[in-house]
Amino acid sequence: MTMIKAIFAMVVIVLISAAAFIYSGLYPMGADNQHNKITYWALETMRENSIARSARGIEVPELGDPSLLLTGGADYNDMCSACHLKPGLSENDMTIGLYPSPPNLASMLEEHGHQHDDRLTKEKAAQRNFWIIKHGIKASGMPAWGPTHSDDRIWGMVAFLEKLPELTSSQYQILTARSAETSSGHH
Amino acid sequence: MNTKSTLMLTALLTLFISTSSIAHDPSLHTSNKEKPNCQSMHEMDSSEMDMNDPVTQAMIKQCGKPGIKEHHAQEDEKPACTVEHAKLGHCWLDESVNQAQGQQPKDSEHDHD
Repeated sequence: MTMIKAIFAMVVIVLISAAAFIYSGLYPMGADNQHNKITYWALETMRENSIARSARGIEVPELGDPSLLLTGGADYNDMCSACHLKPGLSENDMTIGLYPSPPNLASMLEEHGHQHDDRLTKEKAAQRNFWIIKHGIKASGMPAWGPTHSDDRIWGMVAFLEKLPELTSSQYQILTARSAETSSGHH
Repeated sequence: MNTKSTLMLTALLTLFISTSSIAHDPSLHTSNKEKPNCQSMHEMDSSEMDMNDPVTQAMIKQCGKPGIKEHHAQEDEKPACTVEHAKLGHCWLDESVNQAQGQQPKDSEHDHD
């Protein structure tokens, strides 16, 4: 009985301490004040495992259609390139200022900006990219595009992301310019 | 009164839903008016391009096949002025051609500089 009382008292003390910390304003909230290694590891591990679990089972359509690349390329340029860059750029104000820093999706995986547990298969990478674009990531600056964009348009961006690290600046410019086809809204 | 309020509420809701559904229509992305720079593609050696690569296919969709220049793309490569082009005001026929065809050049209503 005494043991139960002691555990209960400890739980109450922990809860009160946590509440006091939350209300104290002592936690540094600035994006220029980075997490310590343990917090970063915990958040990144939780994020990667959560995404992998949620993205499992998403059916990946055929992504080799050039029309998909064109719609996805134009959307990527409008909606993503400000943070995730494009060929010829290695950083900009957003990648320097945001925390966590958005990965450079125009670079090869090795210099991508953060580590994944292992090399993802093409299908898993497509599932992961689709889920992230559709649902976004909490408190990271990555918005959920799902509420305002159809799955077809999101798959277009996924198809474009597959090719993006291999594109030259000229190829990128041609693929991302909005043509009559990509601005007409038929998908 | 109740019916009026319900109608107004329904109209507002419909307006909100329809507006949000078109908010991200690709045609509304006006910030990216940039045209594809096809010059760089036309200068590529088509024999080195993999025509089965979706990237190449997408570029061809945007620019046409490499080596084929756009119509009227180069000022010094203008096609010969035909009667049809002259009628549309795209060019002027030579005096001799005009006389041969019994036509006089008129003031064009839509000059193409």
